[in-house]
This record gives sequence, structure tokens and C-alpha cells, in this order.
Amino acid sequence: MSSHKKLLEVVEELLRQALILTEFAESSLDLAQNLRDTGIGELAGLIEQLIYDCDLGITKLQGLSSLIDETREIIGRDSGYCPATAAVSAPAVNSASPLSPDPDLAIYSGENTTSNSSDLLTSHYADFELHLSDVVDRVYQLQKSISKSGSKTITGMIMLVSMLGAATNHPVTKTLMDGYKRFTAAAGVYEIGQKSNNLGKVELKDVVDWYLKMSVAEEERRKRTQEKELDASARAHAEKGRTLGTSS
Amino acid sequence: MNQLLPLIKDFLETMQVVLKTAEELRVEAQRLPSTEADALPGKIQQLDDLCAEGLKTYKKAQDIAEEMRDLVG
Repeated sequence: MSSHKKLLEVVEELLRQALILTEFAESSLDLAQNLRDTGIGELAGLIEQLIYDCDLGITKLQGLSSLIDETREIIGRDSGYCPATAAVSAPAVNSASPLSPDPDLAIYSGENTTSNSSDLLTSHYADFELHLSDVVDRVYQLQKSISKSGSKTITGMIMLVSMLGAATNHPVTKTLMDGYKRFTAAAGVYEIGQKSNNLGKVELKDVVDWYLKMSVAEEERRKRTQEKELDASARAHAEKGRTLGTSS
Repeated sequence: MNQLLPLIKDFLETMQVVLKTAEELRVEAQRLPSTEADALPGKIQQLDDLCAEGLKTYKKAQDIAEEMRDLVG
């Protein structure tokens, strides 16, 4: 049987078991809801049932864990499982790359050089994912911080926070700016990945592009504000000069 | 019964966390077939983490249930 087919089978079983586990946990919870209303005489039996259910649930989860290990093993060892999206060209990366292949993480596509390339990209994208995950957390925190404002989109939030940040030294501003820095870093990692290879990650690139646009827009807005402030200051100086000239 | 009530509350809360984790596991497992090859290791790690979290919480629920059993005698 091909590894690809085996992988599909394992994933199918994983899905099935995950569904069973959900239904099982739901049924245990329903059963546990009766605890308060159960008479003392029947309570012991119900608790025994719950302990037994917990045992079964734990066994199911252990089974799921084994299936996950199996999935990981297939991906790790498989030289045949290489969809077009994972195909990478070797020459861009030195085969003597100091990055050692991690059997648990790498997606191998047959040749060592390609594996190294793949490892490098995996590593870059892992960094990217880390940054992205961090930013998502920060945006979520941001959303929580200003949820009362009624702003429904991230764009709206950013505009709102930018205005707030410009006027005050609100802690949210720091979160936002940290978010920008993270995205800039993530964009850098993405570029490294792109230079190393032409592997396309359109959806991630879209996110980065969008955020970079937001950063540029924010920078332009900041410049415009600064220019307006300078104009106002120049006008005030001119006005002051005229006033002094008139009075003398 | 008074001593049992906090344990029942604790058990119910823990089981709700178990259910939430199980649902997350199911949702993530459903996304697995449409995951691109290079994102698979990360996705599998995520499933593994959810499994570990689920095991920990389920064991906690079991401990609470055993405490309840000891109390009821």
C-alpha cells in the first residue's frame, strides 16, 4: 500500500476517533449533570460510572495520540508523499546547510538536497508561524481591550487605536506597535523563505502584504499628522511675528 | 452532600474543558485533509498538544470523581 493511501486511512481513522471522543465526552458531561439531583443511594453507582467513563475517555485519547504519532511517522519517513505544493527546488540551498534534518518535522521529497531545502523552509515557516501566532494573540488581546468601542474589523481597530495612541500613551499602542514589529519580522522571514525557494504560500503572503500595506498607511498617516503639526506651528510663529510687528 | 457539591462543580467544569478540547481536536482533525504538505508537521504537533491537554484534563476529572467516590464511601 502506498504511504499516501496509508496516510489518508490514518487521517480518516483520526477523524472518526476524534468525533467519537467528542460524542463520548458530551455524553459523560450530560451524565455528570445529574450528580446534583441524584439521591444518595444511587450516587455511588453514578460516580462509578463516571470513573469508568473517564477511563474509557483516557483510552480513546491515548488511541488518538497513537494515530497522531502514526501520521507524523508516515510524513517523516515518506519519500513518496510529496504533493506539488511541497515540491521544492534544490539549487537555491547549499546541501551542506548547517540545519540538520529533524525526522519529526521535515517533509522529505526523496533527495537529500531537497530535504535540506525543505528543512530550511520548514524552519523559516515555523518561525513565521510563531510570529504570526504571536501577532494573532496580540490582535486578539487588542480586540478584547477595545471591544466596547464597537469596532468590528481589524482595520477599524487599528485606526481607532492609532488615533488613541497618537493622543495618549495608552498601553494598547505598545501592543499595536509590537504587532507591527512582529509582522515586519515575519515578512522578513517570508522573504528569506522566498529567496531560498520559489515555494508559493499565497495565503500567508496575502496576510503579510496586507499588514505591510497597513504599516505603510500608518506611516503615511503619521507623516501627514506631523506635517500638519509643523504647518500649524509655522502659522502660529508667523501669527506671533505679525502680532509683535504690529505692537512695536 | 455539602462537601460533595464543590467536587461536583469542579468535575463539571473539568469535563467542560475536556469537551472543549475534544471539539477542538475534532475540528483540527477535520482540517487535516485540506492542510498543505508543508504545514502538516505543525498541524500534527497542534493535534498532539491538544491530545496531551485532553489527557491531562481527563485524568484530572477522573481524580475528582475518585475523590467523590471516597467521600460517598
